[in-house]
Amino acid sequence: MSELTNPEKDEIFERELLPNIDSLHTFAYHLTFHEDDAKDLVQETFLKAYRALDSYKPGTNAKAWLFKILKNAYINQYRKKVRRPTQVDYEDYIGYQDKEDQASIDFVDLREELFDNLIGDEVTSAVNSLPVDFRAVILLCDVEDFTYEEIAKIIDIPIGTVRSRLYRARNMLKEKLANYARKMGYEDKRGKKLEADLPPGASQGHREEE
Amino acid sequence: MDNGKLNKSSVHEKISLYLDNALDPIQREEFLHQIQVNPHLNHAVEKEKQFRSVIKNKLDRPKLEPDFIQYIKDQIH
Repeated sequence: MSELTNPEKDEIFERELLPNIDSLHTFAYHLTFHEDDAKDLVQETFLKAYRALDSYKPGTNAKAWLFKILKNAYINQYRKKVRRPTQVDYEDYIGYQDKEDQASIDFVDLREELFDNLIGDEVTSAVNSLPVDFRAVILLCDVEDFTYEEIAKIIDIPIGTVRSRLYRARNMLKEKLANYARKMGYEDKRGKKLEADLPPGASQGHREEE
Repeated sequence: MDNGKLNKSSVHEKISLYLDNALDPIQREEFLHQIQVNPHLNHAVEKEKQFRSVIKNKLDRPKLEPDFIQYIKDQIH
C-alpha cells in the first residue's frame, strides 16, 4: 500500500474518522466511567488511527476500525492500570459463563408500562452495572448498531459468543430494570405476561441446545 | 418457529436474531410471515423493539467540549 501524504491523511481523518468521535466517546465513557479517562482513550485512539492511516482503506468501515483501536487501547493500558481489587476478573468470569450450559439461560420479560417510566439515570445505571464484557456488547450492538460480525472483530471473540453474550447481557439488563420497577412499586407479572405474549405452543422452559 | 418444541427462550432468541438482522434471508422471510399471522409474536417483537429503543435513547451520552477536536489535531501535528 502506498504511503499517504499528510494532506491526504488529514483529509481522510476529517472526512471518515472524526465523525465518529461522539460514538467513541460514549463507548469510552461507559467502559471507564470517568470523563478524563474516556477523553484520554478517545485521544489515544485518534492518534493511533492517524499514525496507522496508511493501513486503512478509505471508504471502508472506519467506525469499526476506530472502535477496535479504542478497545485495544482500553485493554492494553487503562484496564490494567485501574483494575480494582474488588472487581471480578471478567475474562475468567466470561470464560466460565460462556462454557455454561446454554439451557440455564432464562428469558427475562419486562412490562411495557415500565418503559415509559424509566428515565435515563436508571437505564444508564443498569447498563453501567453490567460486567464490562456484557456492557461492551450492549454498547456496540444496541447503542452503536454494529453487526455481530463487526462486534466479533472489534472484541476478538467468535460470532457465536457475541450472540450468546448479547442474549445474556440483555436479560441481565432486563432483570436490573425489573428490579428497579419492583422497587418503584410495579407488580411483577412477568411470568403471566410473557405466556400471554408468546405464540400458542411456546411453553415455559429452558432453551434447547442448537 | 420450526416445530412444536418451541419454548419462550427460543422464541425470544429468534426475535433477537431478527431484530439484530442476523437471520439469513429465508429465515427472515419465514419469521416475518410468523409475525404477520401471529399477533402474540408481533406483540413480543414490538416490545423487544421498545426495550432496545429505551436503551438506545435514554443512555447517558456525555458531551465533549467543543475544543476537544482541535486539541486532538494539535496533538497530531
